[in-house]
Amino acid sequence: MRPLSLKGHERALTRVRFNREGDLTFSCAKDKKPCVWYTENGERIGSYDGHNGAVWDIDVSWDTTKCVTASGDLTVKIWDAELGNCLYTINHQTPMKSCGFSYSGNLVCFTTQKMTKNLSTFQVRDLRDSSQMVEGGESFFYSQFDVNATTALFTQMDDLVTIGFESGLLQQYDLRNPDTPIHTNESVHRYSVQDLQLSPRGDFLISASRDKTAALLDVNDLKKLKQYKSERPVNSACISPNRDHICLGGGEDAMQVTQTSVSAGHFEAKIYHMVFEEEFARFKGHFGPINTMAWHPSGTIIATGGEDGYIRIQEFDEDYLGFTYDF
Amino acid sequence: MVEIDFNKENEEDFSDPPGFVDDVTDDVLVPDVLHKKPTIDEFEDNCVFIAGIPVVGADRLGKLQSVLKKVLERLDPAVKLYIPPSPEGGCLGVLLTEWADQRSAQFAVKSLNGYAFDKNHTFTARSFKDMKQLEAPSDHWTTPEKQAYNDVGDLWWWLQNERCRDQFAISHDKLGVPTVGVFTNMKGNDPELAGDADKAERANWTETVFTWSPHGSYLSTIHKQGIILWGGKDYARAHRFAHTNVQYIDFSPCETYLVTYAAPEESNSWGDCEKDSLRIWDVRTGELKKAFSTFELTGRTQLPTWPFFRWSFDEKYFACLKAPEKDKLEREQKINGISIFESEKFELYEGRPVNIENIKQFEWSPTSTVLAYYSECTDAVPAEFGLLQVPSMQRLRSARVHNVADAQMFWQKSGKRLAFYTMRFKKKEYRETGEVKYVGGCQYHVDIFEIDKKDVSLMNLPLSEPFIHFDWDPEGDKFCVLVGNTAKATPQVYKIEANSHAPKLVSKLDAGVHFNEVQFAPKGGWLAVLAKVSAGGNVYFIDTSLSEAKRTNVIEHPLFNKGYWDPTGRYFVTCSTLGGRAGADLGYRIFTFQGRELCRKNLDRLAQFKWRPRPPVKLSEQKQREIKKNLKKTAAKFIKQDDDEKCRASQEVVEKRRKIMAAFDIIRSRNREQLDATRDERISLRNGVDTEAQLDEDEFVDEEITIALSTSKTQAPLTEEEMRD
Repeated sequence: MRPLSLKGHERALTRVRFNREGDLTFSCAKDKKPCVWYTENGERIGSYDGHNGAVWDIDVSWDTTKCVTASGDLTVKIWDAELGNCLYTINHQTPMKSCGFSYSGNLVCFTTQKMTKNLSTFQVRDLRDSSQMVEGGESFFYSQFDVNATTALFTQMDDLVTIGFESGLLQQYDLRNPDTPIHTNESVHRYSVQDLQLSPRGDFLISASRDKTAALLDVNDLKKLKQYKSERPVNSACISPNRDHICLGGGEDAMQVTQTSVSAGHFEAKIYHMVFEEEFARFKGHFGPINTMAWHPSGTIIATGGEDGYIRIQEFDEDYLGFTYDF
Repeated sequence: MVEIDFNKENEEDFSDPPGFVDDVTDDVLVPDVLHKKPTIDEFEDNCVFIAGIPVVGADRLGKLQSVLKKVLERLDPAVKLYIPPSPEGGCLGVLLTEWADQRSAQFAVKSLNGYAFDKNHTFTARSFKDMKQLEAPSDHWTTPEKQAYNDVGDLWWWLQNERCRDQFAISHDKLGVPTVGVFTNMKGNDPELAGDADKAERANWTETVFTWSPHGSYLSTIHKQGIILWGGKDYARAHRFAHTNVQYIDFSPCETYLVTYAAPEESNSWGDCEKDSLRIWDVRTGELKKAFSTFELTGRTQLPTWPFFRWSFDEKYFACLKAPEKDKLEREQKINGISIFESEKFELYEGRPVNIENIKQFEWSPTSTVLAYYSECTDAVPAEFGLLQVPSMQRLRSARVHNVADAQMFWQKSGKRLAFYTMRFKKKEYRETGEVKYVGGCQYHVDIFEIDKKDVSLMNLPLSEPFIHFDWDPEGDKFCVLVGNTAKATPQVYKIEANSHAPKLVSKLDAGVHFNEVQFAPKGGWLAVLAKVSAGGNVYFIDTSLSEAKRTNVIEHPLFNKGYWDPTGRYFVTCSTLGGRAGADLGYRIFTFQGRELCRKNLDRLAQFKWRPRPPVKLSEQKQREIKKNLKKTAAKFIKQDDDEKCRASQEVVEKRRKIMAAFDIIRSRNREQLDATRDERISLRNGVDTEAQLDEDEFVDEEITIALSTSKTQAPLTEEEMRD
């Protein structure tokens, strides 16, 4: 199958995600309309209209009933995934940078950007509690930081969350204790953490950083297990559901892209062996840096979203599927 | 135009206030005038001391004086002689002379030093000033102690590698520390350190750069105090040469001598204080052979080029361009000669430079003491390309070309031929800014001298496109010339046939973009065409041993800025180092001679990559024939060795991977156990749906979705309302 190149967004992609079954692909970009697509043929089903600014993140609940989006228009919105209407809107004083559902889909976490006197925050709300979901409602978990929290996700059921920061810091919080993080890792990344993703089983975390590396972390204590070196800043990384492989993508800064030729920009997605840390394959396609990527639950498809405004759904060839390491 | 208003009354007053004391000394104000200030002992500049005249008794003194007078008056009639008498009234064998001025005194020193007066008497002449500077040996002077021989082991141990593997050295940042390491190229596998881990790779081994000696015996490093040469299996310190703040080093072709240069610490523009910024050392003994003042050699305080001295192939001679002539305003005019030194005495050969008007550059032949020179053309005189034989100073052949704007010379490594490229203009215009502009387009030519032909024959090859680069096949009869421009550059391979007057084109190669260099493999036959510092970073690999040159492969290494053949011509490396374009990924890639990639490494701040050179070893004709005959048999052996090697290497890798995997599996199973323990909790979180079971058993159901792939528009019949419109 040829890779599908999906053109539905007018601006750079910020996130692509599959739902749990993998039949649907959710995407958002710096334009105002997050989209949902059929993975199989790349047909767009529809969009979630209502935001009035760049959408930085989208997540979908495990049963594909609800979506959550974080936008630069100072809102997080929760949508009916099927009908596309907005169920709840959460407001904040500054742009929202990332969001995610908990394991059960009952909790929503999001991070907000630091701006003038407003610190960066990480918050969690319970969808079942109507007092939190009305306008002016307050989060039951609230934590502030001096540095921008760039990305956050639930890493163990509905209890633990992991947050990545612009300084390269990683922290893990227990929702029952908002005061102090239970685990911290400040050594693994030197620059901004751009993306955090959980392995499909939930046993590992992978972090992508602008320091040109991605790292495999122990989900229980954030210890670095492996580190994958790339030649360029890494914007996103994901773990294969059924092989010991990881994939990462990124590229030269968007600012410098005009001066660099495509081959020198390293806009390819690179596949590494998860345990041996060796790069063994890469695939091209984007004309700019890859901003986001997701591995399909079947393990044979990767979706990537680029600065160039395209989503590419890449199905692996026989060479990849038949490739094994001797050990 | 500045108009001066003479009638202006309120002229600003520049005169000093009363009682002003000037605190600027003349030394600062007019150092150039003071430099020429007469001194009390200036008279001594006119005096010359001559030793080595015959010792005679009082009776024959008069006759000696008249003979000497005759000799000296030939130089300058105004000479005055004084023969210091011995107690017996005869002479002491020395002579004092006084000349009219400093110039003729200096001329006398030059002419009389080494002058053979008769069979038994040779003069030694020194200016009086120099005599005064001579110092008596210290009272405590003793014969230097004999230095123990510093044995660093076999200097050529690396040549005895069983698989004939080549080494290279790199300088890069390892964990943030500048490190130099020597590696062995393992053909296809990762390069291995060539020696013990703490010996073959050292942090801060050199303060600036490293170099290999021309035969590869030593690795030289540069330090604040001087140069260190390292050799032997352990890279032990073999020799040291003290030269504070040394900047450049260069070896003579057979590693006998080392030339070092340090910019003089405190220099004024007359070079008064530096006498030894250029030094020549004997590598084996560590002895300083000769020190030169850069200023005296070049008339400048800084070196114009490096390597400054060009050595003949046998190290008998070394030469540099003469200092340029200066006009009265100290502006440099033309250079009109080469200073050729003999390495036996480290003196200028025959005491004077060789005159070649307007010389621009020269190159020694790689196999004989012939040097090729190029002298620029002036409006009146055409450019000259010539061959000068040393020491007879005979011009073997020269060619004159009019209107040369640019030229380069290329010796064939076998010394058989010399090619020179010329860019010839039609008309030249001088702009107001002083720049020269060529009008009416230019023509490009390559001319070839064949040294071994009778009277040195010359053939001409006009090029249809602008010249970019040129290289000879080191042994054969072929050469490659790269022509075109950055957008379209074509490598053309030519063959020189025995009875033909022009080279024959033997290639139909495609043009490429950004090509800027051609390099023949050191043993000939294969050719690499490089597009250095370009985004595409292409290298063509071309086989020229066939009747028509064919391209085998094209590789890409974006923004690489250096490419080198290994000394045997089996491998080719492209590197992207610190000197290249900013933002390039630094590292090197090694290819086979056919352009198949064997290995690639990315390294932080890679500064240098240098193959270790090999000493020239000439196998006997018989041995070469033998090898050629048995090539198939030996090749099979080598292929088997390669395979075994690969097998062994991969086994090692597999072993290593097993260990890593085992360590990882411990963590993985621990995490999975924890997950299993909380599984029920997770199922209840998802309302009793066991989503993980589905994940494991792959219960994907094929679902058929029908989608309209194409839609067409058909026009609906118009309604009555629309009809009316």
